[in-house]
Amino acid sequence: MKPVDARAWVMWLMAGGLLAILISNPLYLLLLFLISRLVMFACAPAEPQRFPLPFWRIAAAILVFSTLFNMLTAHIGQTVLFTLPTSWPLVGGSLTFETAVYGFLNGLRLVTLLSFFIAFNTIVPVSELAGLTPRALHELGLVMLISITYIPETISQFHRIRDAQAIRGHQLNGLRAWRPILLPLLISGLERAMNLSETMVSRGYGSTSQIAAPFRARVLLIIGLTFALGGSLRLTWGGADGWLLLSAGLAAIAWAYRELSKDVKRTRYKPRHWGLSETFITIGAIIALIPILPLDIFDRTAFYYAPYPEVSAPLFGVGTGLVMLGLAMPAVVMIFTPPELELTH
Amino acid sequence: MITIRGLTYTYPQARQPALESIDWVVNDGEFVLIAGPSGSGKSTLLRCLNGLVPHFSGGSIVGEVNVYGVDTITAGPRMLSRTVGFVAQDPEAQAVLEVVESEIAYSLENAAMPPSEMRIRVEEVLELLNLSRLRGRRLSTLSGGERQKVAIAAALAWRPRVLVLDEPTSQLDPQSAEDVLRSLVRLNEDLGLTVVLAEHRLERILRYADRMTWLEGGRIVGDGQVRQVLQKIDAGPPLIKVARALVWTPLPLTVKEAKQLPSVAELVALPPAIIGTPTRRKVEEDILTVKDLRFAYNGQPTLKSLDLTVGRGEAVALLGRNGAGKSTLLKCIVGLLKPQAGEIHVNGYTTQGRSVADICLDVGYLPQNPDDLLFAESVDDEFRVTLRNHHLPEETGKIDIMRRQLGLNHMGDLYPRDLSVGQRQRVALGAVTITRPPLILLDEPTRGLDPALKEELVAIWRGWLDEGAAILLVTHDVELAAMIADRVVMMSQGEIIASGSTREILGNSPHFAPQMARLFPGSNWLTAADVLSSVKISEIGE
Repeated sequence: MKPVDARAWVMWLMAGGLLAILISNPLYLLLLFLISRLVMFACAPAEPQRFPLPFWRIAAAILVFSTLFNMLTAHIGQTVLFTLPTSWPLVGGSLTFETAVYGFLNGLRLVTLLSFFIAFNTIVPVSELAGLTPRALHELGLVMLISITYIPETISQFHRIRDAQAIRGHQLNGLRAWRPILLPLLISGLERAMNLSETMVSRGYGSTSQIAAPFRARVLLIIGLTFALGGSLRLTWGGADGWLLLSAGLAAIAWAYRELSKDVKRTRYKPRHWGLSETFITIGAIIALIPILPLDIFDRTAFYYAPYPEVSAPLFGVGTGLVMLGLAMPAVVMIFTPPELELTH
Repeated sequence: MITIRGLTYTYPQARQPALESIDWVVNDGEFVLIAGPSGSGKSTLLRCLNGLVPHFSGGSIVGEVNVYGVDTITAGPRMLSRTVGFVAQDPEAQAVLEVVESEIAYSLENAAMPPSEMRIRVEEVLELLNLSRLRGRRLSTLSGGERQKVAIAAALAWRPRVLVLDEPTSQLDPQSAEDVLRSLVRLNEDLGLTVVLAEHRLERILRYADRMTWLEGGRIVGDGQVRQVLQKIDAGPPLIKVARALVWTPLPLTVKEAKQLPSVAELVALPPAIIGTPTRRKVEEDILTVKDLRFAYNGQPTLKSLDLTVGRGEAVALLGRNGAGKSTLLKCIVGLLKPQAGEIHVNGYTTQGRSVADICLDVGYLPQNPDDLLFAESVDDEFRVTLRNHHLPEETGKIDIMRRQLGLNHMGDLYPRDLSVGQRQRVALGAVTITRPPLILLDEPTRGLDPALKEELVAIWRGWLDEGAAILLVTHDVELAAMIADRVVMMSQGEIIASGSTREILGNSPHFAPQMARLFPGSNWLTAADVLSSVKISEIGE
């Protein structure tokens, strides 16, 4: 299958992420989680960039932490599991099943969100993401994306240095024991950054952006930022007209960006092509968002679930579940796209 | 054409100039080799050619550097990126994007080249370097040699007039290095591309270079045809050392050239009995015993039922291509990796159930990158930290002896990371062996070191072997294995495919034979020292 335009993937991520943030019903969250894993396994390249830490271990850590934290700090609910002395600050009081369930659900929401991001990160190459950054901000965007790719390398370097110190008999006990690991990690990270910047400069990085920003763009940017700041302050102090000022500021910033982009020359090795695959994925993402719209056909109350005062079975609307399956469209597209033929208009 | 006149360059805060009074010319289409000891200024000279020095490094510069009509001191690396393609030492450290095609197109996108033109350029370099089949692959899945070829392809995308490479094969195994060098030769011969390359491993490159420039202490000591320069200097691969000592003329650059010389033919005809005998040390006690060792990474078997012993006072070299499982074996021995099955005994005790720290009281393990070990304020502190970690007394006498043995006599108070690459390697070696372990594991210990530094390290290890230590050495450098190892173990895909005396294994291996074994097959000679001492003996006999 030819690579899908990164813009369609951004739509997919936004829809999935939004639903994961808004929904608290465990059944829907579980469905979203499974969809994100399915899409990742169906659409990841043959040799994916591995996520540097084992996903299941992180997920388990989030769930355990979130459950325990909520259980120890919130003391409501009817099903008491244990009681800690009330003289203990913060954690003292009854620990209930309901708070544990609520903490677990918050953890599940985070894990689902993380799963969507990991799928996106695995499927979409950095070069495609770099192509999405606005022209005027391309170089800044590229540097930021490269810094993201530094994370796995830094983690593997951390393991290497930790091993190197371990063979000198070093053991990690106490804060000071981290120095033999953090110091070489910092120095080698800086050396790596220097090497990479040397390579980038040697290959012409920044060679098209030596033009000074036009006067008009600079003025617009100053005006836009001033208005946006003024509008935000107005809104903070309760002035309803702050929206007007803020909107005017944002419009001026957008105009300045347009002016700046005019002078930035940039081409793409493989220009983006919006085909049927991209259209289907976007439609699937939009369909999945329909239940959150203020329409009467879906029962939005089923989205929200609270285990208080007592845990009860969550509701599940089959229609809503089916609509959410729109997010699985990338996996469907993958199945129906022959490996050699391109699915385009 | 590249012209350098009166170039003197000093790094910021440095007392001595890195380059001094350089006058140098490279003609169009030449293949020039820059060589010299570590710290002689090779990389600095290369960086002057694309303006990284002084634009990126700072410092003070005097003189003129002109590359195909562009003054690099005023123009800078961005402008020169279209004239000079630059490839650094470590292929992993120079990748910007993660897919082969995008990486190659990166510099063209930077320059806003029209996509149709860009496609042609990318296809062109993919074809030139035989990378078409890898075009969609992620760089992280490629071998070291393939990654270095992608770096070269990326540097060539602009069709530069000159390609500058800083030790491009130092991180590669012999086969990958050969592959990369052949690609460079093809580019030079077929396209007339000017190639300027710095390299330590002269035996790999001499045959390809038109010209050689030898640097020492920032000055050009020799410059001209490869043979002329090699006559002037002391350094060189074993073949050159022997040829110089035995006054072979013309100086042969390859084994093939040497075999055609009458004096070599005479030596080859000598009966094997008088020219050297195996000198394997007698092993009385095994320090390391590995039995039926199995290990798998993510379900993929990396070590398959492996058996190995290393005796007291014995040096064993582990050879094999990247990914054969050599480093994995070392990590299993020190307990950094837990094997799925099998037994490891060090100094008579099993390693099972023991912590890494405990095992490392008996094992000194030098990993591939010595900088991972160094963090203390001074050389002596590095040694002290290891003793402290193992709850051993921090005896000054012990530290002094270690420093003396490693040739770091007056450097006890110096900051380790300020030292040269060879000195840092020795500090790291001291940091893992200050406890005087009976077994020493060395993982590519001479990577990036010049021959003189390599010989210094070999002398240190020989001293330790004489004191009864056992050494297990992982290396791609067959000349190093020939110099130090009593026994060679060849690994492939997690299995031992050959094991025996160094002479037996290296002497009969088409891929891993050192130069002397290839020149004198069946003679038992592996190193220049073997040949020279035997010839001297036979002369005395006559």
